[in-house]
Amino acid sequence: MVGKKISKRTAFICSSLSVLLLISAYTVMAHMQHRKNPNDRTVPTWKQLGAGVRYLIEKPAVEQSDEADLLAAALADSGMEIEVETEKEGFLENRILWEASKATLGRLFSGLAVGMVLGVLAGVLMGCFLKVDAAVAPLMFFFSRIIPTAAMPIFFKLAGIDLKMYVAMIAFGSMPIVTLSVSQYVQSYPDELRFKAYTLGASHAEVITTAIIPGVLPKIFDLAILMIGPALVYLIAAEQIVAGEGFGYRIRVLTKATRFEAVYPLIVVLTLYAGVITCTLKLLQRKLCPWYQLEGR
Amino acid sequence: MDDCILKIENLSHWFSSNRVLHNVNLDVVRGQIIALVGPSGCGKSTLLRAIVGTHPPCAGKVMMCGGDGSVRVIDTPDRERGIVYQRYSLFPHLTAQENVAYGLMIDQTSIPNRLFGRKKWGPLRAQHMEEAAAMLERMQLGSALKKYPPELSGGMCQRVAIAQALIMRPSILLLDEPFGALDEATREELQRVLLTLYQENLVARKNDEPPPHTVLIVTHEINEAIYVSDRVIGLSQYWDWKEVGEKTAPGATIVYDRPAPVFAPNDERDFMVFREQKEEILHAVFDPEYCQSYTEYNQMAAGFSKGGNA
Ligand SMILES: Nc1ncnc2c1ncn2[C@@H]1O[C@H](COP(=O)(O)OP(=O)(O)OP(=O)(O)O)[C@@H](O)[C@H]1O
Ligand SMILES: [Mg+2]
Repeated sequence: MVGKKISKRTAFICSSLSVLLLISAYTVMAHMQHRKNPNDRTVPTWKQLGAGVRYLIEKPAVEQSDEADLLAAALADSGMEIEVETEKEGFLENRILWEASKATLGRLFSGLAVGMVLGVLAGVLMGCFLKVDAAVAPLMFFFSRIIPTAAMPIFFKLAGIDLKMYVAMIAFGSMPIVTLSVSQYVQSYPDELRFKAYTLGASHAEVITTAIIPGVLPKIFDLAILMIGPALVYLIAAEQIVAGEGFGYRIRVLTKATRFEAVYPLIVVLTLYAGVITCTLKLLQRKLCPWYQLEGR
Repeated sequence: MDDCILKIENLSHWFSSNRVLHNVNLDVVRGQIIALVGPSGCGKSTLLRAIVGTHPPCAGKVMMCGGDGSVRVIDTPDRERGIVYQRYSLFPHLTAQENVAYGLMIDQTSIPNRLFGRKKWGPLRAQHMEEAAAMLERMQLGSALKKYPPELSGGMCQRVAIAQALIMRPSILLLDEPFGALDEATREELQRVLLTLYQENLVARKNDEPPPHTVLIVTHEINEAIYVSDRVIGLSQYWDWKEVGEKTAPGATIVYDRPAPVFAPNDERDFMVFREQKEEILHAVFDPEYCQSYTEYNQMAAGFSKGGNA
C-alpha cells in the first residue's frame, strides 16, 4: 500500500545499505582512477584521505599564502612530502581545522543570531499590527528577493572584510525571509485563541507574550533550521572570495593546489557541523515545545 | 431589583450588501441559561461575536448592566464575558491544568510580576494550579491534568474549555456550538455539565444568593436547546419584513422567545416531553414558508418579559 509504515529496524537497515553502497562505490571509483593514474589527486584513495585529514588536524595554520600552498602541492606532486612551515606546532589552537571551524562557525552563529532576532522581532510586530505589516511587507518582500551573493561586492565595499561584513551579509540574507515567515505564522495564529486570551483578561502585551509567541515558537525553530542552509551558502561564497581564514578560504586554497584529499574532509566536516546544529535545534525545540510533537498525530 | 446582566438594543449587522442581523433586542437576566437557535447562516455566530466584543455591530449596541443599574457599552472583549468556541478551544502550548490556570495567572499577576517577582509568583502559581486542578476535578477530568490538548478527546477539550472560562467567574458564559463536533454520547455528557450549572443556580436562589451562572449557548440542535436551557430564543431571517416597509431582505431578527422546561442532570432524557415546543420552534424559526409577524411577536414578547420568567 502507498505510504505503508515501516519498522525502525527496517528503516535502519535501508539507510545503512545506502551509506554502504555509497562508500563502496567511491572505493571502487578511486581504485580504478589510481590504476589509470597513480598520482591522481582528484579522487583520492582512503589512504590519501587519511593523510588529508592528518594534514588538517596536524598542520599549523599560520598565515599561509596561496603560493606557499601551491609550492607544497608541487613538491608533494614530485613525490616529496615537505612541510612548508613548522615553527608553530604544538598547539591545537593553531591547527587548520580548528582555526577554520572557529572562524566559520563564529561568523555563522553571529550572523544567524542577528538575522533571527531582528527577523523574529520585526515579524511579530508585523503579525500583530497590520499597519506595520502593510508598511513593511513590500520592502521586506523586495529585500527577500535580493540574492545576497550577487550583492556581496556591496557588502565588501560598505562593511569591509572583517566579521562585521559576514554578520551583516548573513543577517541581511536571512532577516527578510524570517520576518515575512514569522509575520505569517503570527497572523495565522487562530483568531479564536487570541479572542479567548482577551476574554480571560489578557492585555495586548500578554496576548502576544503568553499566547502568540509560545504558540509560534516551534515554527520559529523550524525556520532557524531551514535558514542554516542559505546562511552557509552566503558565508562560504564570501569566504572563498575575501577571507583569510575559514572553510571557504581553505577549500579554495586547497582546491587550487589540487589537494582534494584535504578538501573532501573539509566539506564533510562542514556538512557535519550543519547536521549537528540542526539536531541541536531540533532537540531544543522538543525540550521547549513538547506539545508540538503531539499535534497532527 | 432588575437582575439584567446583558442588554442588546436595536442591534443590526451587515457585511457590505449582505444584511445579516436586523434590529435585535434582547435582555439577559442573571441566572438564565439561554439557548439561541436558528437556521444555518442566519447570523447566530455574528450575534455572539458582537456580544463577546470582538466584532462590534454596525448599528445598535450591546451593554453590560452593573449591579447599580448602570450600563456599559461593549466594544472589546474582556473578562466579563467568557467564551467557548467549537474549534481551537484550548491553548495548544499549555496542559489542561495550565490552560485552566491561565486566566488566574493573567488576572492576578502582570508581566513584570512574573519576571521579577519570583518569590511571590512561585507560591501564587502553585495556588493557581491547585485551583485549576480542583476545577478540573469537578469536571471529572482529574486524570487529564498534565495532558496537552492534542492528547485529549474532543469532549475532554470542551470540558477543559468550559472550566477555563468558568474559573474566571464571568458575568455571562457564551458558547458557540460548543458540542457541534462531538458524538451523541459525549454531547449528552456535556449537556449534563450545563444542567449541573443550572442546579447550582437553583441552590443559590434557594439560599437567597445571586445565581452564579448565566449562560448563552448557540446551537442548531433544537432538542439540545430545549433540554439544556430555561429559555429558548429563535433567530431567523424568515419574518414578514415586507410588512414593515423593507424592500430587500433585512436579515435575521428574534422571532421566538419562550421559557423551556428545566431538567435535572440525572433526569431521564425524554425528548417526547417537549415535542410540542420543538414543533413550535421548527415552525416559527426554521420554516422558510412561514413568516412570523414582527409586530405581533414584539407585542407578545413585551407581555412575556413582563409576565413571568422569574
Ligand atoms: N467575515 C465575514 N464577511 C462576510 N460575510 C460574513 C462574514 N462572517 C459571516 N458572514 C455572513 O454572515 C452570515 C451569517 O453568518 P454566521 O456565521 O453568523 O451564521 P451562523 O448562524 O453562525 O451559521 P452556522 O449555523 O453555520 O454557524 C452568513 O451569510 C455569512 O456568509
Ligand atoms: Mg456559527
